[in-house]
Amino acid sequence: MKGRFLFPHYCRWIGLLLAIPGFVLGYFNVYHEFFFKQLTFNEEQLQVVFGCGNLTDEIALALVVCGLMLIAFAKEKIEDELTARLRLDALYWAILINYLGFLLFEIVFFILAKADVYYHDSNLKVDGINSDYGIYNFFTPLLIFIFRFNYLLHYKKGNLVSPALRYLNYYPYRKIGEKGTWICLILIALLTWDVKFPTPIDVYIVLCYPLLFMFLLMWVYSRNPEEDELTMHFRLESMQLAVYVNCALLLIANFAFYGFDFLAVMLINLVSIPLFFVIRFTYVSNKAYWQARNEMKGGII
Amino acid sequence: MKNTVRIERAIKNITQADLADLIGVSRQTINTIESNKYVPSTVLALKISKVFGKAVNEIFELEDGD
Repeated sequence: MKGRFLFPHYCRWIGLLLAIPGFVLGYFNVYHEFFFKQLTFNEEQLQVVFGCGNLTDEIALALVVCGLMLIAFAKEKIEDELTARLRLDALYWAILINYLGFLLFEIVFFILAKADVYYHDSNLKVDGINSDYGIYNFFTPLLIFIFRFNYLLHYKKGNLVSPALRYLNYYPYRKIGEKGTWICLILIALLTWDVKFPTPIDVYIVLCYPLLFMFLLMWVYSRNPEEDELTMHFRLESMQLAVYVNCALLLIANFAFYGFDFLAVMLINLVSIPLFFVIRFTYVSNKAYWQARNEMKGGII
Repeated sequence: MKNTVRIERAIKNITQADLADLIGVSRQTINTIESNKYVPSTVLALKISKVFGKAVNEIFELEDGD
């Protein structure tokens, strides 16, 4: 099965042309407080949507994200079943490492913040969670993907030992993942609509989101009750589409929410990949199931 | 790629579920293969042809676009 939803091969070069200036601009913006004066706007100029402030960092981020997307999902010169298989492998590791890294960072950051060691020295202070990692998290899945994919394709060429991807068992991990995700989502929805809970607000921030990611990861990385090569095919497509949706949402949120709530952008970014994946994956798996069932009812044996 | 899995099944008089059980995949996989939405791996194609006692290229056939 060949890869689908890919950009033409030449997009890789366009991607490089976008991403490299983006990284340079982003680096100077974040660490040397460089910005284009022409891009500073006040509220009246930007009216409702954009909020106020300087748009240099948004532009840097947009360049990086668009560029990396094009590099990551441009077709190879020769696109075949092996490249599709390697893409699944690379996506599997990119998403797993990215989120495990995030969870680990959250735990370490939380401990350090409690110990009052790290927090005050941070360059990129954002209220509450995420902090520095949140900024890098915008493009780390894509970066890990690009490295892993090219490593497999170019360095393992010829002696590629197709490593079997491991998934957690359906029972109990999928069940725990599903139930945990729903509980966390309901809790977050209730808290967003200002339902008052007796606990202090930062306890919920610290606990709810990492737990949500953990349960979502369990869901993403567990087997279906029936698992075969078609399921794997659905997985690849869904993961790839999830990364697309994530990037699109990120680009929209990047400009729309700035100044309003940067934290919201980071949360959308973090949740959208696994959340979109489980929705799409569940949908296509069930659709295939019902189609097979309906055809049997229709009398075609 | 097109295939004659549905016809072979009718000849052998087995359901999609039976075939799925015989080769250890899900019923929806057989269904998507029969409706030409999914191209099975070589392993799966060989298993299917084994069930029907025919050569793979008697069941699976290349089309112009492939």
